[in-house]
Amino acid sequence: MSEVSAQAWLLEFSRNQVAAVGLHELLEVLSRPKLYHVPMASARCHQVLVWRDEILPVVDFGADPASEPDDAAPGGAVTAIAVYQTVPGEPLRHGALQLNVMPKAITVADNMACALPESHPSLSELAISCFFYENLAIPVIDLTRVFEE
Amino acid sequence: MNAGSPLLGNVVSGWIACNFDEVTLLIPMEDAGARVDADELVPAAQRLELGMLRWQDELWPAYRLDRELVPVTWQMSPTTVVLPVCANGQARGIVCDQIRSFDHPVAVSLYPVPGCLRERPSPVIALGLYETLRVGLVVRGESLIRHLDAALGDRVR
Repeated sequence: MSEVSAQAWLLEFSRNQVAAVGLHELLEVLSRPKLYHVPMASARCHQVLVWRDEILPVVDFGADPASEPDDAAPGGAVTAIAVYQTVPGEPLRHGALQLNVMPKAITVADNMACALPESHPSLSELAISCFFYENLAIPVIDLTRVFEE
Repeated sequence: MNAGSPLLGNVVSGWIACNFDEVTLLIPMEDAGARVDADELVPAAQRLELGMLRWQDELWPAYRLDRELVPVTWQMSPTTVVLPVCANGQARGIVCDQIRSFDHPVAVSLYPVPGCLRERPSPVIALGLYETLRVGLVVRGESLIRHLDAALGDRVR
């Protein structure tokens, strides 16, 4: 039987925080869009942006979760627009992810599956699976959990 | 979504946009009074009360807020403007850099606050899109006054 494989986007939030999403889950990449502050939110998600007449939350896993929200922090080099669906049949929803570098398209095969890493619990808590790629355990994150919880 | 959406609970006649510390509050016209200039304020005794504004024959404190909507000390200037925010017979003044009004209820499109932005209890009940690309924080007079009282109570404690 042949090995099953799928395409995915590799997302680098910071040098040691990397995750993946399915190829269909990223729509577009923006370069330094205008961000708006939202008070009483977390260091990792305290901003929104406007995209195609929608207001989208911006999640930055590269930010220190223990710090105060800082709009002056450098943030990501690029901002990726992601799409997800909370329940099948419901309208699609969108959110934005701050990335260190442009997302990279990779091919993931079944035999690359591995256990979730313990080194970055915040990403692991959002993961639905994990695979081994270039000596790193890469969690595949659930975008509904990222943007809705 | 429009101004009659369940996010507000009722239809508003228009909106007031007030700016400070690079945030914009969007307040239904029903919850705001006419703008007051800084030199119309009565001096106040408390440090964070930048002056007292007269509203319905009573004096109410005016505050400058930071981007986390917490009252802060502030040096008033001749260009400072104050927006009275009112609810349930009470008022508070919000010291702003700029106040603008939009006389149409549909001038602001309302969006729910996404789950990942709801870290702590907040007076922000929705996000508003206005002038095509600008984002403001939608608050009601009641929720903002309650928030200010709680924030000032925390400072005292």
